[in-house]
Amino acid sequence: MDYGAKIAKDGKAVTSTDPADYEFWSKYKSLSLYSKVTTSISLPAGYTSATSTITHNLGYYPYVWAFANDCGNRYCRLPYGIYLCSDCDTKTTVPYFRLTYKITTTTIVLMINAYCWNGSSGAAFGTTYTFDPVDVFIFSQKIK
Amino acid sequence: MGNHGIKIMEPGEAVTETSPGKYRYNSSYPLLKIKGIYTGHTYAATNAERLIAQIDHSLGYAPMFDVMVGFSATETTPTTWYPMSFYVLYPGLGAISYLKIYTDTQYLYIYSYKNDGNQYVYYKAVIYYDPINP
Repeated sequence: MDYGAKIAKDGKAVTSTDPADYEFWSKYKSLSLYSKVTTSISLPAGYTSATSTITHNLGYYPYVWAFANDCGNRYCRLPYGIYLCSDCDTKTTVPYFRLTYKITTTTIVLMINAYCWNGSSGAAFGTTYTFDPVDVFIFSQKIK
Repeated sequence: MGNHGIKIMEPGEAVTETSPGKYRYNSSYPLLKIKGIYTGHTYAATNAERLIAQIDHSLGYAPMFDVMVGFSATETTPTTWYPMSFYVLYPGLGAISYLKIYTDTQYLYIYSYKNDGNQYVYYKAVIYYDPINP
C-alpha cells in the first residue's frame, strides 16, 4: 500500500525513495513544535542544587530541547556545564556546575547542580547564579 | 475560526484523537525549518582551545541548532558521532577535555579543548530558521 502525503525538495523527483529528498513525507515522523516555555533558574548562594519545574500535562514523555542564555550573553544548548569564573570561559577555576533537565509525563524539571571540575562533590557558591532566560521547546513527538 | 488545518494521524489512531502525540503531522504544530546543514573539520592541537567553526547564519536572532561531532586521529571521517552541547565531557577525549557550542545573532560557534593528544574534530551542524528567543 502506498498512500500518504509527501512534498519533494526543489529539484527532486516525487518518485524518489530517499527520505532525504523530501521536505515532508507522512511515512516518516517529523519534529513539530508543540509549545515553547521561557523561564529562568537560579542556584542560590549557599546551595549546591536547585530545580525549576515546567508543567506540560501531555500524559507522555515528549521530546524536548532547551537553550540557556549564559553570562556571556550567548545561547547554549543544554545540557550545559561550566567552570564558574569571571569570564565563564577559563577552565582553571573551581567550582563547576551543570544545568540539565529531566522529563516526566507531566513536567520538565530543570536542574542546576554544583560540582568540582574533577568530579568530586560540589561546593556551594558564595553568590547566586542565574540563567535567564532558559527557553524550553516541547515537541509533539514522544520519546517513548 | 474553529478547528481547521491539516492533520495526519499516526497509524491506527482515530482522527478524533486530540493528544499531540497521536499525530504524524498537525499544521497547528509547526515543523522545524532548516536553514542549512554545515559540515567540516579542523585539526585540534593538544592543550589549546581551538575554534573549530564559526558559521555565519546572519539571521539577526539566535536560532535553534543541533550539532553532532566526531573525532579522528587521522584526517578521515569518524565512524562514531556524539551529540554536542556545551562543556560536556566526552568519552575517549580525556578527563577534562571539553567541547562547547553556542550561537548569537550572527554566528554559530564551535570550540574544542583537549589534553590527550592531537585529533581532528569533525562536525555536522544543523541551523534552523526557528528562533530560540527573538
